[in-house]
Amino acid sequence: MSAVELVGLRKSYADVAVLDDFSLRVNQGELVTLLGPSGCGKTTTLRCIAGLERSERGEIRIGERLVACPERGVFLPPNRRDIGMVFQSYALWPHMTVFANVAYPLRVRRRDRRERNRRVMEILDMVGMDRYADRSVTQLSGGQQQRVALARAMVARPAVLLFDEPLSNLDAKLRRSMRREIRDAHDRSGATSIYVTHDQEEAITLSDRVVVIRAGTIQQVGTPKEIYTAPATRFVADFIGFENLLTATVTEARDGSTAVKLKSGAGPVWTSKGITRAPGTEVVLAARADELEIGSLGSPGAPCDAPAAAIPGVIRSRSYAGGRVEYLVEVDGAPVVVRAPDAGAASSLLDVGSDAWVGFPADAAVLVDDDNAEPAPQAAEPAVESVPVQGST
Amino acid sequence: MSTATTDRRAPARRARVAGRRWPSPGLILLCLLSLGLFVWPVVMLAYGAFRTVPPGFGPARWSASGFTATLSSSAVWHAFGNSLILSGSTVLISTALAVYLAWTVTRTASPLRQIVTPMAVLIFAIPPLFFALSWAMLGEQPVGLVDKALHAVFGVAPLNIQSWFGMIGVSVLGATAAEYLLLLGPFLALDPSFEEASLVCGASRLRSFFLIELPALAPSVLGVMILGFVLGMGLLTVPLLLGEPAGIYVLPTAIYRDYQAVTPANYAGASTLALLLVAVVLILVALQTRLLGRRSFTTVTGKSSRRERLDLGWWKWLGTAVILIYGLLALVLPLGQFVLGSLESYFGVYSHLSLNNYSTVLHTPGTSQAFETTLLVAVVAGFGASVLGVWVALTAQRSASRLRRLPDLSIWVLWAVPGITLSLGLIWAYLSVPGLRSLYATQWIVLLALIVGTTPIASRAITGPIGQISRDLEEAARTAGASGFRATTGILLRLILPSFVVSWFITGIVSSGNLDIPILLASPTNQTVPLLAYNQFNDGSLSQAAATFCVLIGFVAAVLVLAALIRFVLRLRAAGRAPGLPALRRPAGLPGRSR
Repeated sequence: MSAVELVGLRKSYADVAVLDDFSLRVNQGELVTLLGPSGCGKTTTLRCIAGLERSERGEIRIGERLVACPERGVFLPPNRRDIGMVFQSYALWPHMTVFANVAYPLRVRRRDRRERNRRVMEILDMVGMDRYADRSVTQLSGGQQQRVALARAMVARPAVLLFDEPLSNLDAKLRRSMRREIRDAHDRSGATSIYVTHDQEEAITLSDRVVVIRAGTIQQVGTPKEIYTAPATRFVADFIGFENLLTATVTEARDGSTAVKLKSGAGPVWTSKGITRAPGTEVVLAARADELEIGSLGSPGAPCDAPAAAIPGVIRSRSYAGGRVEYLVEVDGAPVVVRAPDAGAASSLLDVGSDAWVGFPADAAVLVDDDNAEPAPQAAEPAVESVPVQGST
Repeated sequence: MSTATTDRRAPARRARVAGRRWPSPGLILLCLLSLGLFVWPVVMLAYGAFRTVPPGFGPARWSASGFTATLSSSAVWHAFGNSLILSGSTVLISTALAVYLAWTVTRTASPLRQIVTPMAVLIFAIPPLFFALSWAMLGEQPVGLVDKALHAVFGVAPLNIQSWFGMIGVSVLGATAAEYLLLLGPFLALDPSFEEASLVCGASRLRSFFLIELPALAPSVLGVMILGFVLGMGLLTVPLLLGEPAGIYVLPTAIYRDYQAVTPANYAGASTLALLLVAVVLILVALQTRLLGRRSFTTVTGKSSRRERLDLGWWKWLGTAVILIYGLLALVLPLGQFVLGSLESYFGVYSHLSLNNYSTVLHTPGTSQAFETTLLVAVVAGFGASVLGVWVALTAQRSASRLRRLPDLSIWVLWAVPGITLSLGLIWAYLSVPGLRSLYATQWIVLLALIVGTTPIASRAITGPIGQISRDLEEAARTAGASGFRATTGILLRLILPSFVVSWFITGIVSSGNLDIPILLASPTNQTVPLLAYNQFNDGSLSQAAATFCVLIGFVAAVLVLAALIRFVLRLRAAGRAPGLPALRRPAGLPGRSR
């Protein structure tokens, strides 16, 4: 069993760098997710580790072995790296049965037939596919194919398991249950796993550590909790699901807490989370819609229930969001999303067009660096389509 | 895979739910046309085997005597056995070679691999008659080029081209190109992750090819083999030129002799032989269906393949050597012999080279007429076959009626009557219909027969691309406010157009080189170029035959170059419009998502 280490990796297609000076260490037995939008280079990284892609510069080590280093002319082909991989399209061979697919890694490793049969049935039993051993893989459902692909990747007990967006072709419910199975399988195997996904929820719930990648460079590495609660940059905050990202300026810093004012001068908002910067520095105030408060500013003269750290705005739209009510509030010329608990009574709802305040409870917001990130694309990557071509007759 | 199959069926199912119950007049017309054009000749072939009166003459008299006499003749079974040997060995050798070439081109870094596809296209475009003629000339003792070269090197010429060896060898040269072109698509389309998965499982690249890729391609390879076997059984030209002089008869030459060389023509005998051929084809198709069902393992993925080529070390030169030898035998030598032969005043006399043969060919009324006829039938037959192909494919995929599959199935029937069998069936079919009888021995009957004969090719070239045009595209046009007519012409037909043009090219070229149909249906006053060249060869005017063929090949080459130029310009324009869009590289600009 081995750690995986990447040092100064570079890879480009047609002079466009997909990976640049990419370094990462994945410890023995760890499950690390590479998270990022499409085209950020996460799949390329995985394929470089597998040896399906040749990096142009840098070192890749699996355990003690140097498997790729173009500078020294080292390149170990994929079949000699002792890895297992689950493909996005599953890549199950259609001319073989479930059993034959799973037995293949043992077959090419020339394992004894008795041991091979025992091990294949053991792993098929583990993924709950033992009853389907003699089926053709083309007769299986998506989730079943996924299990077979997982079994095939693990059957030879490789030191490293690689997952290339394995769940992106499954429906939401199946995805959640398969996620648990993959985690269990990883824990039982003791292998070092690297998992590529563009789904932040998957990354957060599945991994020991998350690596957020943007345009071929690492943005942040941390535990799921660190990434979820304390994103380092505006890009990471946006990608990990912070709906509100407001440009702000630090006004005061004391006892580990920082006060910021929004562009219009509204504020201050205090928080102890995220980065600390000297007064006058421009930062981004990141906040999740669920953690903000909202209330009516009332008509002129009416009593106002706004707390001190509240910022005035105008409600632009209102929609029901399953147990909560989602408001889009224009604050400081920018839209702010707030999801408030649905009190049930129609009278408690705030009207579109009315003045409202948005409250930032202590530590509800996180300060992050502004890296001028474009908002991360929301859309998932298109699923790989599989279309039969005209069979020649 | 399984999901994809349902995707493909979905439009038809949707159409059936939403559609009408009664077939439209257009569909009825197409059904009648298909039955008349495609099924009728095959039915008439069976009918002819039991009729003792030649076609077109009445009253009909019936007897099984011709049928039984033919089947009890040992010569017939001998020819049948010869056909099986010729076709079987040709297919085995050419498939091995075609798979090796396709693998070399798609997977290895062998130098010169880029020339294989253009070479194969050229060889495919040159009629089989050309190879038969040129190799007959190359091996002609004692004056052929190869014969002379062997003499110079070994002192003796062990090569007798008019033999089993020559027949199989020359058939392999042509068949390899066609099979390579058919295999190239599946080889390229095979999901690269199949190989990658095998690599990460610990298998080497070579091992992955034999354990994973080749088995996954097996249905395609087997399909190509069966098609090659069927076409080989119907191959007339090579056995006619290289086998018959050595006394080797196969079914097609036996049919031709029964029809042509005996007076009165033994129609019943020829038809019986043809039925024998049909029976073999049907058995093969049944076998294929039984072995494979309708499975096709080949899948295309949205991911562009960025696979690396196999590093074979010194073995890569083996691929280059095979490519070079194949190019030499299949193109350079035959073409060289032809050009040289066409310049000789008398074949085999290498002095006094001149262009006299060309001026004779171009200025003799009978021969210049042959070029006009060939041009006419090639262009019109190709167009007609492609129109039929589009119509039939559209009907099968878009119509709601139960009859929608009938025209398509009728075309499939034609695969059972390869080469000269079809010509014989067409004679029966047209001569038994009073109105059509007057067409006999005109160029129109040749034209009609070529349309029928090439429609299966057009249909194959068009059905696939049309099937990939999603019905959503038309529905989007309809919801955007276009009328049904407008959606069909502006969206659907526009998307079909590239495939249509490709089909027209292929069928036109195939028509221009076809000998099987004119050899039975044309008269001396309206012969086509292949028939003319064949007759010149038979009369001993080898040099003139060479000149005739050189003009035809020059013409075909010009068409190919023109086609390549048009494609190049269109690609440039497309690239200008959407730089770097890989989707445009898909044939026919088909819709499809890619990363």
